[in-house]
Amino acid sequence: MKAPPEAGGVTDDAELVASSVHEPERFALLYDRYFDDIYHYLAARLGRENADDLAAETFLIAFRRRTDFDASRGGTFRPWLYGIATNLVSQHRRTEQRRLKALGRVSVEYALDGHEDQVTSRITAEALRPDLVQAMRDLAPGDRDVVFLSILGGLGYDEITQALGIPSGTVGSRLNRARKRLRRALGGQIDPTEED
Amino acid sequence: MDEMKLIEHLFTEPKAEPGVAAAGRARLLLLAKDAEPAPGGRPGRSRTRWLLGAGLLPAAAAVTAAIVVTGDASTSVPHPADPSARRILLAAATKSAAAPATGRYFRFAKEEGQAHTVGSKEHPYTVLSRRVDELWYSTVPGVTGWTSFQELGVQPASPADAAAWRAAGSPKRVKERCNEDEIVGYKAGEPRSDGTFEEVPVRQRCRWFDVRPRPKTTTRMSGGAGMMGQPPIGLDIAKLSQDPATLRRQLLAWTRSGGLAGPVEGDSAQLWAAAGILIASPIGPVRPNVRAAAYRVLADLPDVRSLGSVTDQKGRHGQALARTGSGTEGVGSGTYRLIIDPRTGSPLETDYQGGNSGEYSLILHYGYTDETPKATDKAATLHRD
Repeated sequence: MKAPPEAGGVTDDAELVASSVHEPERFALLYDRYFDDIYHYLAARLGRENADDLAAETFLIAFRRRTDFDASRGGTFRPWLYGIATNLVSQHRRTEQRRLKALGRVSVEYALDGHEDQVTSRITAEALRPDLVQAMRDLAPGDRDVVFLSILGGLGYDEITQALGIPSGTVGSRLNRARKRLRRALGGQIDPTEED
Repeated sequence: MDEMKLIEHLFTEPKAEPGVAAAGRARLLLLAKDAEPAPGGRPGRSRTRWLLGAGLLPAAAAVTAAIVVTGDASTSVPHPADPSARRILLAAATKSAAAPATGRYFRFAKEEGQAHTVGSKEHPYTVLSRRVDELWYSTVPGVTGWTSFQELGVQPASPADAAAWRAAGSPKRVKERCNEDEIVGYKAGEPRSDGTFEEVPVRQRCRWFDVRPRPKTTTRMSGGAGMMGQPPIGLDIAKLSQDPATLRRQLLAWTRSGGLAGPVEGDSAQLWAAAGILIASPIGPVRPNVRAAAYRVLADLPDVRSLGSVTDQKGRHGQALARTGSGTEGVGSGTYRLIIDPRTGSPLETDYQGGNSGEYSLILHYGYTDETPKATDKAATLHRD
């Protein structure tokens, strides 16, 4: 779906957004281009059930705000879209907490039952890391945003900066801090000054 | 497998069912069909509002508020323009404009705090964990800035908490109160004959906090675009105007072009957030005249009110200004405060209280300096006590 045939010569995101102001249906091409990405991100953060609704919602919001998107100011479409999706996540922090809690509790047995989201069935025993999920739960929401945007959105520092509207210095320090904590959770050896 | 790869594996879900993507596409096309070609260039703007639920905190607001609370949207009661808020902000503008505008570095240091309950079941008390981020933006072309970070350790949140801490023997490390019997997950044990694994329950571990500070790390700011020390995209700090009316337009242009990374509705909510970022966030060297103009922009907002004299988390006296954010604006509903030192116009603290939690951000240093940071440990200069 990366290059829908009906896109013709117009392949540039910014051009599509601009042309969609007068030809609204052209926005559907952007939907085709990025729906999978946004779904992937939202499903990871809030579960598939919520992503079913919110992935489309992200595009509806983007569509309504399409005249606010200004490529001439250095904005690119994909991070802008992730910014909208991240705001939707922040509206669902309780859902996010429930999911993190559920993932932490996931057992191999549950996985075979398909008890929780199907993700569990693909988790190998090796990757089943309640300690890591717990560490994700412990992160400040803003730090978690940066981690998810980086890992599941594949966004770079400058793109996260654009998506979240925060200083890039903050992106870097949040990511460093979060990775440090996650690594510590993984290490098994707990830093004696930090944990019991 | 490193932690990033593991997280990707842990959280990745299967793709959407084909019907889901198609249904969403149909919704979009329906909306597109409805959309008038835009003579005014802002189609659908008036219909945006219903999309915004309660508790939506734009990510940029987290720079100043640093907390997201999803709670019930309390209906915000419109406040009449508060003359004392205006007076305080205009005075802060005058003081700010008089601050020196030269120096080799523009230095910004802030402390963020978060509350935790610690102690025994019988004698719980509250401590604050604190960390300091410091940025030194170079004003000299070709000279790189510095950035540093330090965990300050925890300290009792109030005099009563301090008494409780002393009664507990003034421990150097305190343990968060949590239920260690709670099973938070399972890890795989020995393999069973059928290829599955035995489950070993993993119980919650309550965190320990050290009252002693960790060493401070100071490193060079990275220079590349999007790296440490660069302002948010769309906000060119060097080009911001010292004329309040122009600055207002610039800030609105920025917020409306997605600068706040989310649909914040209404000029007042947008300007409170954007001007607050200029005044109290580490985004780069904001000139004193521009900071003064940002205060003047806030002074003209109809719904900013004065809370009078307060003491910030560090015990410094200041004047508190507040704005109530509501879910319909696309921000977390609750009270956003900005505390200013009336003598200098310097920001002291920003905080947010909504729902049942809150966090604060203290501005420790703000302004131009000829000092030079050292890459070695300078904990003593930041460590309070």
